[in-house]
Amino acid sequence: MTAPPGTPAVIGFEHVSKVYRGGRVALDDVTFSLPPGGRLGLVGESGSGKTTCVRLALGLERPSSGRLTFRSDPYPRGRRGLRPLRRQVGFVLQDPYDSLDPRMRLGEIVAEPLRSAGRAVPGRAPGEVAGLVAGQLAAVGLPGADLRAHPSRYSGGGRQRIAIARALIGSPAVLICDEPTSSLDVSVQSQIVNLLLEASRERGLALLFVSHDLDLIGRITETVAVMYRGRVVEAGPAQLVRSAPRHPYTRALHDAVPASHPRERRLARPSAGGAAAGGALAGGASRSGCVFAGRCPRATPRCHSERPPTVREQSPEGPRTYDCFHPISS
Amino acid sequence: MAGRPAGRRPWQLLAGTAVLAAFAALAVAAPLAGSPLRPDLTRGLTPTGLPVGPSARYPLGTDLLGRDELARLAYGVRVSLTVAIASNIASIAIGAAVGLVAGFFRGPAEQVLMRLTDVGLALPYTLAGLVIAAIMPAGLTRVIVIITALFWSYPARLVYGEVLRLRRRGFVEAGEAMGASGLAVVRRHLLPQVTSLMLAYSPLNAASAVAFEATLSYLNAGINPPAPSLGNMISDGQAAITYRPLLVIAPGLAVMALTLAFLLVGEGMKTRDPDARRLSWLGR
Repeated sequence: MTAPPGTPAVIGFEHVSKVYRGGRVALDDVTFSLPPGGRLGLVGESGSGKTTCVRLALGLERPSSGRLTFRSDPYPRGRRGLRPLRRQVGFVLQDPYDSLDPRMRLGEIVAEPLRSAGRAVPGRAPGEVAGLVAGQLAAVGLPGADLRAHPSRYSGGGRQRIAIARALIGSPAVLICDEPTSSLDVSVQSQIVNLLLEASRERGLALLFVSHDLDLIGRITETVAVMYRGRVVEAGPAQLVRSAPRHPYTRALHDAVPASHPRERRLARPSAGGAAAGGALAGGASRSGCVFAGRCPRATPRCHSERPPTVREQSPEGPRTYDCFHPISS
Repeated sequence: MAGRPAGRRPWQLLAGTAVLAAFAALAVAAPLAGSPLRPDLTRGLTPTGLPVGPSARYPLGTDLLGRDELARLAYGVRVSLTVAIASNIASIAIGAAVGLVAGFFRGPAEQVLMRLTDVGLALPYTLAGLVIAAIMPAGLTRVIVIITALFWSYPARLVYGEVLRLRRRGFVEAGEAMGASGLAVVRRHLLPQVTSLMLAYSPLNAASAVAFEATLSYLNAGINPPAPSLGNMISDGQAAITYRPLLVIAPGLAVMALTLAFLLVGEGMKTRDPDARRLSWLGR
C-alpha cells in the first residue's frame, strides 16, 4: 500500500548529515522519505550509515545538519518533545539477545509501549492489558506464551517475535527494522521477514527496513536507498535497482550475494562494469570526491577530486537517482 | 575434580551470616545484660578502685568506672550495627541516585555530580570526618551523617560506570525509543540492573562503616562517653591496658569480628553473584 501523491512522508530525511566527535562522518547529505504505508529499504555494508539513520529516525540521536521530519513536521528537541512521536514508531533491533530486558517478564516487555504511552498503567485493568499482550503474541506466532516467563527461555527467533509483538502492540504508524534477521538462523530468517511483511501489509504500516542484503531488500520493500560511507549512492524502485543497478557499488553489493543455485551463480558472475566486491571497507576515497572511487574499477581521476552530481532518471517503475560520473548502462 | 554442588551456599556466606546473626542477637538482647551507664561502686570495683576481672556476675569484668563491660559491649554492638545499616542504606541510596542521574541524563548534571563525586573520593576520610564532627552535636545521628556524607561517592562511581555501560544496551535504548520518560527508563531498566551490584557492594560498605564508626568514636568524634560504642570502649580501656587488657581486647575483637563477618558475606555473595565478582575484597 502506498500513499497518494502529495501525502506528507511519515519520516523524511532532508540533506541530513551526522558527524561524531573526532570528525567521523557517519552520514553525509542523506535525503530520502518514507511515505505512509510505503516500504523503504536501506542497504549497504557495515559502516555505511544505515544504523545511524535508524538511530536518528528513532530520535536516539540528533543530526549535525539537515532536516529530519515526521509527517512533515521537524523532529522535536528533547526527550519530552520526542515522546508523542516515538509512540507512533515501532522498531525491531538487530540483536534479539540485547534488545529485550533480561530481568523483565514477557508480559512486561510486550506491554512496555502501552505503559510508556500511559495506556496500561500498572494496576489498572491488568486483565485487559494481559489480553492485549497475549493476543499480540499469538499474532506473531507465539500463542499461549507464558507472560511470566523471562526472555531467556526463548531462542533468537522467538525473541525476535517478542520484539515484533512489542513493536506492533502500540499500533504505530511506522515500523523500523534494523537488520532484524542478521543474527538469526537461515531457517528462521524467512519466517521473521514474512511476519514483518504481513504486519506491514495488514496494518498499512510504513516500513523502514535496513539490511546489508540487497536481494532481501528487493523482496521486501518497494523502494531502496543504497548507502556507502554515509552517502546514498543510488535510490529508486527496489526491483529496478536490484536488476539493473546504475552505481558500481550497487552492482558490487548485488554480486557479493552468494547465489544458492548453480544457474543463479553463473548469472551472478561480476560483469565488466562490476566493482571489487567484498574488498576492503572504506576504500580510501577522499570525501571531496566520490566515496566509492577508491574501490571502483570505473573510477577516473575526476572521481577522486570531484563529487558526482545526483543524476535523476525516470523509468516505468518510478524515479531513480544515482551519484556517479560513469554509471553502468543497462 | 568434583565441583561445589549446585545450590549449596558458600561457607563464607554461612559463616558471615552466622556471626552477624550472633551479634544481632546480642544487640537485641542488650537490655537483658544490664545497664551500660550505671556504675556498680560496691561490686564493680576492687577496694583500691580498680575494675574487676571476669566473673559470674560480670562475664567480661567492669570498666574503669565499675560499669558492666558485657552490657556496654552489647550496646556498643547495637550502635555499630545501627550505624552500619543506616549509613549503608543512606550512602548507597544517595550514591546510586547520583550515579544513575549522572550516567543516564549526562550533560551538565553529569559534570556537576561526577566532579562532586571525585571530590568525595579524594577526601581523606578521617580528617573530613573530624571536620564534620566539629560542626555537629555528638550522637548516633552525627556518626550516620558523617559516614553517609563520606561513603556515598564510591557507590556513585560504581553505579555511574555501570550505567554508562548499560545505557548503550539495546533494551535501554529500546525503552527510550518507545517514548518512556527518562525516569521511567531509569526505574524499569537501569535500577534493577544496578540493584544487584549495590546489594553485592553493601556488605563491603557496611564493613567499612563499622570500622570507621569505631575510628570516629575512638577519636571522640563519634559516640561520646558515657554512651557506649566499640570505639570509645577501646579508647577508655587503654588506660587499663597493662592490668585489664580485656577492656581493649573485647571491643577490639568485636570490631574485627563484625568487619570480618560483613566481608565474609560479601565474599560469599561474590561466589554466587556475577555482579559481586567485580568488586574487590576490601571494597575500597
